[in-house]
Amino acid sequence: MEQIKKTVKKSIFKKDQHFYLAMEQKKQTVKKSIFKKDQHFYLAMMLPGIAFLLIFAYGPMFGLFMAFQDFVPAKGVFGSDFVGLDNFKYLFNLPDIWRVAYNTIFIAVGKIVLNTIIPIIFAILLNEIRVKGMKKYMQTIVYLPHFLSWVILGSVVVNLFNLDGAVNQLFEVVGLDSINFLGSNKVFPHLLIWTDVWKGFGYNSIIFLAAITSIDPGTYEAATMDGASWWQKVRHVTLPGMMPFIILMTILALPGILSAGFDQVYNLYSPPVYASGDVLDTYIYRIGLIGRDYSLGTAVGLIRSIVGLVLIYVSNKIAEKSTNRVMF
Amino acid sequence: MKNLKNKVLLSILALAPFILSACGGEQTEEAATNADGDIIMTVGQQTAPNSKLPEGDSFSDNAYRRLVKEKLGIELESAFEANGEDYDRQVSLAIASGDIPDMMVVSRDDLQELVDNDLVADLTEVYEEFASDQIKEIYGSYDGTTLDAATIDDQLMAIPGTTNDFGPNMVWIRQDWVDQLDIKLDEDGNHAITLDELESTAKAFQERDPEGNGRTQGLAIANWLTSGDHGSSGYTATAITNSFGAYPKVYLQDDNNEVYYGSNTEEMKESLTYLNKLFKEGILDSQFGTRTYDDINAMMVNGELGIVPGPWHISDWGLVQAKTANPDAEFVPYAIENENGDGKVNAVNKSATGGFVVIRKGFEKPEALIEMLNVVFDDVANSKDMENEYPELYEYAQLAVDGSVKPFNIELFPNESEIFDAKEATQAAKGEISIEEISKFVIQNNARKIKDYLDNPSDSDPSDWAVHASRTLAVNDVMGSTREANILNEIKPIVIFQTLDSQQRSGAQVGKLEEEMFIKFVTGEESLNNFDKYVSDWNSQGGTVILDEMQEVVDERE
Amino acid sequence: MKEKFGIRQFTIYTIVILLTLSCLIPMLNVVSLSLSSSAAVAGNKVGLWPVDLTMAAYERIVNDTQFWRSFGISVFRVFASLILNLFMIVTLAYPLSKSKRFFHARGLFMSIILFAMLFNGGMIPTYLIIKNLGMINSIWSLILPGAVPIGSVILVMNFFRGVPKSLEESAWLDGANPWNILTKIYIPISLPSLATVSLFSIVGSWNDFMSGLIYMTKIENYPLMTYIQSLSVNIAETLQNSSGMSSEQLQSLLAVSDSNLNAAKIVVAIVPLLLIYPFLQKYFVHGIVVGAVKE
Repeated sequence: MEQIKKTVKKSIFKKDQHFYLAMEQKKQTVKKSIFKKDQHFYLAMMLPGIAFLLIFAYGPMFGLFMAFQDFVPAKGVFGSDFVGLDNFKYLFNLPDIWRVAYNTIFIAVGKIVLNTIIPIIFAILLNEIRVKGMKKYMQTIVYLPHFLSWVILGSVVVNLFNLDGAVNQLFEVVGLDSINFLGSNKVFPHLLIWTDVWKGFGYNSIIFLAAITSIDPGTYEAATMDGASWWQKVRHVTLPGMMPFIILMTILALPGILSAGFDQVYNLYSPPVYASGDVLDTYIYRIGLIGRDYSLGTAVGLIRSIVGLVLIYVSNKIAEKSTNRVMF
Repeated sequence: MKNLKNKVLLSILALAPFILSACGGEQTEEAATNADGDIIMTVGQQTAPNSKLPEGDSFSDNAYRRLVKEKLGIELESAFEANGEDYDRQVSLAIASGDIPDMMVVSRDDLQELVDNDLVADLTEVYEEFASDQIKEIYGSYDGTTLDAATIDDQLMAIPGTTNDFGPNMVWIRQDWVDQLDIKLDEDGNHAITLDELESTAKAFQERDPEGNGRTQGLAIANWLTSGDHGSSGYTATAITNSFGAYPKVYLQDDNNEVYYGSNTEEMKESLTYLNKLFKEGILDSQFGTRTYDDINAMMVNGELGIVPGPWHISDWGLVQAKTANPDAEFVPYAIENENGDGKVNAVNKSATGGFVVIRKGFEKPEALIEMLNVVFDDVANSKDMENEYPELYEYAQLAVDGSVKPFNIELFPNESEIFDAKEATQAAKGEISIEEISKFVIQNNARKIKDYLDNPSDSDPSDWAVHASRTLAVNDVMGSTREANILNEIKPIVIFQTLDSQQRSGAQVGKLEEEMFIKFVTGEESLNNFDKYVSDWNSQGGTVILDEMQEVVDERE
Repeated sequence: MKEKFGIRQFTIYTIVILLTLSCLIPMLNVVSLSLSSSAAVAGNKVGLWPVDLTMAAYERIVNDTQFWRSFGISVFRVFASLILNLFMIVTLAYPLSKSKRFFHARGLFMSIILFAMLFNGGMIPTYLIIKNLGMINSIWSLILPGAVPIGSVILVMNFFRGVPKSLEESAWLDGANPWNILTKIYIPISLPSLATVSLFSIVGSWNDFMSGLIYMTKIENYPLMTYIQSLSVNIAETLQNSSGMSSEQLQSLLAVSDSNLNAAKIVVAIVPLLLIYPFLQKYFVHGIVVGAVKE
């Protein structure tokens, strides 16, 4: 029995300890064969999904060799010349690469953080709307921007924020100096971050709304009976209940740290703000390499994947250490 | 678990043959035929977003394909259909999968790759044997440069389309505003104005706001500032820089045959200084740099711009929108006289090529391509009676169906034929010659439109005005007259068709440097004293290597 | 629980209403564009209200046979993808939600899945696989490659882990097999999360235009978003890359800026997504969990 308790303690699912204890005890009595049967069942269940991944995700991975080649389509991956790390060297020797990397990470981190926080806040606030029907309509409306491409939203944003746009006209009315949102290197990255948050907060809040609904209402009732205030309930019931999904969504967003949103930047930036707004994707696109140079594109993709892998691994470990819960 | 890993490995290996089979070439084979015994020829079909094709016709079934089938016994079948970048992607995918169509239009770089890997047919003999005299004459008018572009190791590997830049870059000025404000413009009548006239007109437009909307700008320029060819010179300062003797974004040779870059000259520095002055004085739009193309276009349509720089054909696709929105909006084109006061007009004359049509190596009937050229660019183009000989294509012309619907989306015109054609159309419209006698259908069509406009200028269709503006005003008057008056100083830049290795590696990088710095020079964010530093940055970031490689290519030609 | 409408509520309502209204702006703009004349659109005169009201754009759409053909392709694709995706999500998420003690090979499979999420071989190799499987121009090329939405698998796996173990335990003790436990306990309890990933699946496959551009070589086989994408021209970009284009080619390419027609197509394309939403919405609003958890 002591032995069982020990192994259970190591279990990653702390809150399920009772269950494991019960199971372990049961295991002593139930025949082992049932467990074996379950194994086969699980394996059989996963078979179709894994097969699809092998064909459509792993099948094309021979293409990763292109990152180390001077790939020529007519020669194919197996006929093109290997050039070692030349593509990576070329990439890191581009004169603006570090500035561009900084811009990318700055904008991407801003988006990851705010695209998590704002939808959480919105989900909690929306949950407070008690007027029947209103909540439904609002939910539908806030998803709308998500369905529009940046080509369209770009022109809306430009019309709102250029020097004679609606926002600056409003500034004029209240006596503020006008701001060249689209042409100032100080403001532009923030404009990118906030307009992206605006586009996506409704859609991103779906997952958190789903998380809130999965919180046991009994907990709220208990808290109310204990005289908890609204804020206390949010802090001690809602947020902890959502926490696994907050962590999960953050971890899943982390591999995006080197992609700051090509379509958005491409439709909003102009040469005066290249210094602050040029990100990896737009830079490489603009210097005309992605279209022609598949090898370089693959090299950039590979760097992204590796950085993503490291981030996911590390963040998962951190989550495990601090909350006793792994996400994967 | 080991077992499982093995299975994973096995499945991956099982896929390998599929992938490997993508390589491997074929030899000449018998072409497939359809039920009627026609040869089936697969093509990479370029498309256009709004083709204006009549009901029932499509890119896979249209008048051209029916004509080719009827005349040549060849049934064209699309291997893929796509537009612009998407087409280029399909070409790459076709090449990568080793399964290219029998015929397709590719870029010069794709052509090189196809030739290097022995995938396309040598057309030298079939061109000699089958091309009609008219077709050979068209290519002959370019002194062979166009065919040279498609010739690799002395073999003609593709049929190139033609395009040509010639004559001065222009600025288009609202004549109704000029009249309204009683501004004196081009008093010597040589269709060229001075920079001072340009500046004072811009100032007058801005200050006196003829449209009365309170938003009139003197001059607005897209943020790519200049252009290396006529086609993209709309909304750029190229014409202004030319008047300083600067030729941005092209490579030239000096008296010692040394290659230099047109954007990095002392003259360019002067042009930028001038533009900076205009910006400081507020004549150049204060939002220069962040203004998008669409913004400027909208300003033009709304009557907030009275001066629009653009190529001779901008009236057909750009200014016509302003004319539609406001029938009074009459833009008239002018060249700009040189800043040094020699009374001449600088211009760039550059031949280029459109796409390259290739035939898959092993296709049974490579001459099919040449025969189709003859049909499309000789028989049809020179038909005097389209309406009866080719009724379907006549209908296409009336509907303005997009040219991409042809079996190959290239154009074939004799060198500088636009001037002759415009002259002929203008003369015919004015009744000096008979419209029916004109040998080419396109010119006939233009002449009719110009005539419609001239007969009733105040109440004509905007598209008639557009043709009048581009053919009569821009080509015939400005291009033709400056040439006849011998005040044209035409510069011929270096033409290299393939992308050089150095350009592939650094061309875009130095291009970006130029774009970014020039905007700063104009807005004053960067002092023009740093122009020399920009030039040395340009050189060190790869420019020198490009110039050296280009020098080598040029020297080899001598 | 009755609460009175105090300052807190007032603030919350104000914030939520303002945010919601801001989200209406772009959509109103697109709808106005679609209802305005092309001249007004070119002049950038259209804001939140149509200028020179006209239904011409919608009339043209109704008569555009390819639009409706593509619409049908997209509808089929969305349904087939949804069924396939849900099947894959559940069959992968359920075993993976078990700890290593109960599903021994979990570590290996989790790695396979994570690796597939992070690394991809790129466009050309994927195209070669699809082509060699004979799926070019087949609707399955739009459905099968995206059969396993890995992010959704991980999401649902985490929802499954949150299912109270007490429920499973009692079922297990009653002799239920894993299949019964999945269908009788896990799936009913997880309906909100399944509704969420269904929405992701629907929106994702409806909006994806790239695979259509790559795997479909004929316009008649394009799904709706690919078709709409192929109709728009970026004029500034076209101009800058125009070298090698003859003036005739340039003219015909640039003369087709039909912004109001394109706006109308976008409006029509979004409508189905808005219609589907209320069906899924009830799962987000009422927690299904409520009834199930009460013991």
